[in-house]
Amino acid sequence: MTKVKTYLLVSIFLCLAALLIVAQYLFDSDKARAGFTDPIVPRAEIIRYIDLGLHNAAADLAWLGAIQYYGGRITPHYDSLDDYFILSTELDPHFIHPYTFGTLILPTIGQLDKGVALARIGFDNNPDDWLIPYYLASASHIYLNDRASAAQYFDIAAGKKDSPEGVKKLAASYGANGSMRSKTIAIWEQIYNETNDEIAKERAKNNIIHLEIMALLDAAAAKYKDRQGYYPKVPNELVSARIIKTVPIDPLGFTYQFDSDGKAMIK
Amino acid sequence: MVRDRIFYGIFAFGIIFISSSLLLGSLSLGEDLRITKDFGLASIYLFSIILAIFFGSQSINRELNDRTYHLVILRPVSSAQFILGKFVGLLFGIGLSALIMQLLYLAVVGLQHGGFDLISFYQFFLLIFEVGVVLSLSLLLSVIGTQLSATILSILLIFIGHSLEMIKHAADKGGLIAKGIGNILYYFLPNLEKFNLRNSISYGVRPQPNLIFLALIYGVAFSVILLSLCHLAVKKHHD
Repeated sequence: MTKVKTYLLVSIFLCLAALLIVAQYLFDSDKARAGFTDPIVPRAEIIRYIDLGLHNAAADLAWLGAIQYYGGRITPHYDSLDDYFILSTELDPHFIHPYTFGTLILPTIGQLDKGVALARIGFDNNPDDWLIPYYLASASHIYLNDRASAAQYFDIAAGKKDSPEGVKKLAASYGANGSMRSKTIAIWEQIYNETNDEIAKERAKNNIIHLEIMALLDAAAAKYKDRQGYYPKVPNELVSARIIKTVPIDPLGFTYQFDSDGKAMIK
Repeated sequence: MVRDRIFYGIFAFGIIFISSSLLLGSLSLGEDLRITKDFGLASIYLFSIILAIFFGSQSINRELNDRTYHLVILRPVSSAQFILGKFVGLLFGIGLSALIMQLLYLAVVGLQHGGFDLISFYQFFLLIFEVGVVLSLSLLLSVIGTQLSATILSILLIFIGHSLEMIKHAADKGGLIAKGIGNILYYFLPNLEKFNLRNSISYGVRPQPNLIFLALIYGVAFSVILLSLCHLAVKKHHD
C-alpha cells in the first residue's frame, strides 16, 4: 500500500513537472508571435523618490538594462535605448560609461542627434573627464563631418589630466597631413578669434604653431632631398645640413621624425 | 532575535546578494568594480533596514501581547530599562550582521582588485545610526499600533525619509500652505538622507567630518526622542 502511494505521488509530481514545461513552452511561443514591445523606461524623477537614496545602484541597474536591451537584439529599432542612457546618467551624472557607450552606439542605429546630445550633457557634467570629449570628437569627425568640432574636442580630450599619450598624439596629428593642414590651421584660427575662453585661446594658438612647425619641417625636408637625394630621418639632420638653424620647440611638447616620404610626424 | 530563524533567512539573503554583485559586475562591460561597490553597499543597507523594521515592529509588541512584559516588570527592571535593553540588544544584533556583510563586501571589492575600501567604513558607521533611528521608530509604532501597521508605516516613513529634500523642494515651489506642510514634514520626520554617503563613497570621495558629526548628533537625538515616546506609550499601555 505504501509503495503504491509512493508511486502515485511520484507520478503526480512528474505530471505536474511536465505540465510546467508545456505551459512555459506555450507561453514562450505565444510571446514570440505577439511580437516585441519596447520597454517603458521610467523617468529619473520618479526613481529618485523610490530608490531610498541608492541613486548610483539604480543608475547601475539602468545601465545593465541598457546592455541587456541592446545585447538582446530583439528589436530592430532600439527606440528605448536612449531612455536607458538618460535614466542612468540622470540618476548618476558622473557615470561615464553610459555617455561614451551611447555616443558610440546611438549614431550606428540612426540616432545620431541623441548620441551627440547625450555626449554634450556628459561633457557639461564631467568637465575633467577626457573620454567624453574624445568620443564627441570621434562622432563629430565620423558622423557629422564637422572637423572644427572634432579638432576642438580632440584637443580638449588631450588637455585633460588623465588622457593617455595616444590621445595627445592623435589630437596633435589630427588634420595635420599635407592637404588637410591648411584647413585645420584655418579651423584653429577661427577658434582663436572667436573664443573668449583664455585656455581655449592658448590651446588654439599652440595648435596653430604646432601645425606651422610641421609645415616648416615638410618644406625643409623637401629642400634636404633636393640637396642630398634622400629624405632626412630626424629634424637634427636639417640643422646639420644648415637648412634650419635649430629644431623648433613644439608648444604641445612633441618631438618629430620623418616618414619615408619626408613628411614630419610625431615621434 | 538570534533565536529567530527569519533573522538567519534575511541575513543569508544579504550574504547571497553581496556575493551576486560579482556576477552582476561581470555583465556590466567593464564597470565591474563600480557595480560591486554600489550593489554591495546597497545590499548591506537594505538587509540591515529590513532586519530593523522586522524585529523593531515585533519585539516589544510581542512582549506586550503575550503579557511577558508584565513578568519582566515584576523584576527590578524599569520600563525604561526594558525598552533601552530591547533597543540596544536589537541594534547590537543588526550591527553584528551588518559588520559581517561589510567584511564580505570588503572581500568582494578586494577580489575585484578594488583594494581595501577603507572609506566604506564611514558609511558603515552612519548605517548603524540610521538603523538606530529606524529601529526606535519601529519600536514606537509597534507599541502604538499593531505589528502589521508598524511594519507598513515604518516602510513608508523610510521612503519619505529618503525623499524629504525633494518633497521640500517641490513644496517650496507651491503656495504658502504647501510650503508650510513641506517644512513641517522636513523638520519633524526623520531625514534619513543625512546618513547616506553611498553615492559619493563609491567614487572614493572622503566625507566631510563635520557632516558626519552632525549626522551622528541628529541620529542620537532622533533615537532618544522616539525611544522616550515609546517609553511613554509602553507606560500608558501598562497602566
